[in-house]
Amino acid sequence: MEEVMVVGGGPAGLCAAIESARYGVKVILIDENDMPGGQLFKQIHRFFGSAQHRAGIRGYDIGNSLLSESEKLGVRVLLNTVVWGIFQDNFLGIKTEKETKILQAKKIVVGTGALENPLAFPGWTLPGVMGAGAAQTMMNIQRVLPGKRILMIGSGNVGLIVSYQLLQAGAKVVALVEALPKISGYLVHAAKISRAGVQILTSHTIVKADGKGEVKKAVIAKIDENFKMIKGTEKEIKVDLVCIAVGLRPLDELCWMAGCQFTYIPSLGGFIPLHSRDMETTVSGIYVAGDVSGIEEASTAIEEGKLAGIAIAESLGYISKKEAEEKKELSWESLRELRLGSFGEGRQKTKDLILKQYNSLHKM
Amino acid sequence: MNFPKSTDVIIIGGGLVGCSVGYQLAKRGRDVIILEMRNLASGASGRNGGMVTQLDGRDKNKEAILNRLNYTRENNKMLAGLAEELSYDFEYNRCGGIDIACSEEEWEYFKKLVPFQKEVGDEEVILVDKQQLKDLCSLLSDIVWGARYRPTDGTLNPFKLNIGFALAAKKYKAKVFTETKIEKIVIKHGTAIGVETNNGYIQANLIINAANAWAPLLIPEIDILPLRQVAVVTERIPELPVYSFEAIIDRQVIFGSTQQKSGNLLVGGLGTQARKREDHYKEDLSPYEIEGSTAIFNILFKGLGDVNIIRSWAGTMAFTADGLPCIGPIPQIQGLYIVAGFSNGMAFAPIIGKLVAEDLTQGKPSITLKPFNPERFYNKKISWPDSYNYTVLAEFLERK
Repeated sequence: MEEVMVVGGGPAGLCAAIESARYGVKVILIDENDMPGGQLFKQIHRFFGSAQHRAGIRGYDIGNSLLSESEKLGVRVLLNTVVWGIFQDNFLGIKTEKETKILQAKKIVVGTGALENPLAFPGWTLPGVMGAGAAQTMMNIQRVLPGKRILMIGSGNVGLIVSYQLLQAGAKVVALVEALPKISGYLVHAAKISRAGVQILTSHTIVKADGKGEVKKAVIAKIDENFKMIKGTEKEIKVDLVCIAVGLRPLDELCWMAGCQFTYIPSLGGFIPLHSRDMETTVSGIYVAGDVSGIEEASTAIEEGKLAGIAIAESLGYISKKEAEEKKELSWESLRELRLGSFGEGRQKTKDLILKQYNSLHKM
Repeated sequence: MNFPKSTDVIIIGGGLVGCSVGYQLAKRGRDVIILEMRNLASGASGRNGGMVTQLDGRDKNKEAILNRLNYTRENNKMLAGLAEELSYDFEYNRCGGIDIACSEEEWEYFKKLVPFQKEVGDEEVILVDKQQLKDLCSLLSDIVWGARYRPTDGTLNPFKLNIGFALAAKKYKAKVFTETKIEKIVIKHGTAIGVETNNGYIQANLIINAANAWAPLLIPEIDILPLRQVAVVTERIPELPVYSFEAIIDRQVIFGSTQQKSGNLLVGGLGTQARKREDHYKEDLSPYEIEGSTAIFNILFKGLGDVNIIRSWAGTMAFTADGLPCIGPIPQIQGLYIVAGFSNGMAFAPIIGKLVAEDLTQGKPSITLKPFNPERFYNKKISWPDSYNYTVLAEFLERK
């Protein structure tokens, strides 16, 4: 039996692996891509926050430093490997490039991240309509510019940041539409693209995308307070790429399969596996960290991963309860700080709610 | 819809058999209520391969062969016009079915079995050698030796057939209540008078137990065995020359089919672990069973190694000591009837629904239901193997 298997090599999974390996736990990290790091290597922008949260550092630099740390600590990394199931008694089904295998682990960390929400409108299946995250992967990882004239849908941080990166890569963002009456993401990002000449249209939506075989144009329109289109406000714009940035949802299939209990919190992305302060789910020995435990950001994913890693090292007897408590306190404190302010407070409340529900289950 | 207090006929089970019987009775003017503890097609009806296999098993027994073919051939005729009758397309495709020999021993046996079948009146079956089989299905690997081929076998979408029957039954005023679990069949002075459910009590003139593998939980006097099978299904693959098929690999009976309409290939059976009776109702599945069934793609076919599996599941079918269903009144009890014990439902359920309705409304079915008389098992203890799967049972019945 393996000691720990971490599913997903993004910031959460990497930090869970690093943190438990640091105390001597034998860790296998599995990622379906040909390189770990998750979204970090797409994130060419500098992070916000305090120095402790790696503010000012770009995502890919964080990714590189986590990779070299995990390597130093002897984390075994299986790449191009898919975890196709979690079963009773912590069995995992995995598929490598060569074979299918079934492994068992004392502890499992699910750090599978999130999936972009789709948006359906006439023409949404045309080539040239894609998630903003997908566009970011093409641009920053594969170095392919996915379009020249872009309509961005959604003014959350993903929509704003990807718009800016598209500009940097030489594309023109013709418009950014947002259904709500105000911008959803950080204003500092919005200001940046505004200064670069992108028109941000709040209370606007896409009506349709059009084109023969690929997107050639899109129609946008103004909407009223009930999100109904206002007739006569339709405007046709010439674009070859429609980017959808209307939120993420946890990639939680493995947790469902494992039998974890869930709660429904729309602001965190929908169904969220209940978890303890140590990030353990209702299935003993299965932990979650990062976006799968509620959509937040890389810096919170890092802290959650650390918590899971420390808690695992503790429960496997590699560090004392006292030492673990001290280490965990640092991460809890960090998470509290990261969840301050107008964008964070709501998340703190919902995370507290998850904890409350988890605890009430475990008192029974 | 208010939960009723009484009705003419209660059918227990919203699977294929329950809905088929319900449709035929409602069509003949009976007031029918179908009660289903989960949802339509939640049991074996929604967890099978959709294979219409007119003669399952490899036994060399004239009576046993004819006891199946007499009904399944009629069933096949009925299927041909059923979509029109129900006004519901259930994707019936008479693509043919093959029972594949994967060893020299099996092939030698087939060479004797097929002439025997023809001799007892099964004219349709064709013995095809390795080359002919590969001409039929070029995807097959070199493991094959030959097959028994029946051009009139086929596949259908079992969910749609089940739902088609339910909708058609509703047109004739039948009512369907799902998530309604029967706690108990109430019997008074030797007569079944109603059922206790989680939604209340319903009185009825006639109660039909069509719960298949769950039937013996309500009528333990008839020993029907639950039998769990597993299956996996691939993503859609274009234009696949595959038939409904059966084979034995590593001494285990496997099965498979393709829903030609959507192009998904479904297989199952390999690596299904033996379990004790009560565990056959569990619909979870182990990674080893998924691995086993998935291995079929690489053992039996060429070039499908990179096809993705999109779903896997376990389901519980029923098994009886002679492989035939139990159909008829329960001895000693008035007003209680059973239609259960099917292990090859697609090939039986439509015709059986019709025959049962004829039996119950006219007193005489157009084909006798005698071979299925439940009396043959009434209060008989069968010494089933303690721990079993399909293969163990097939050997137990010598029908592999």
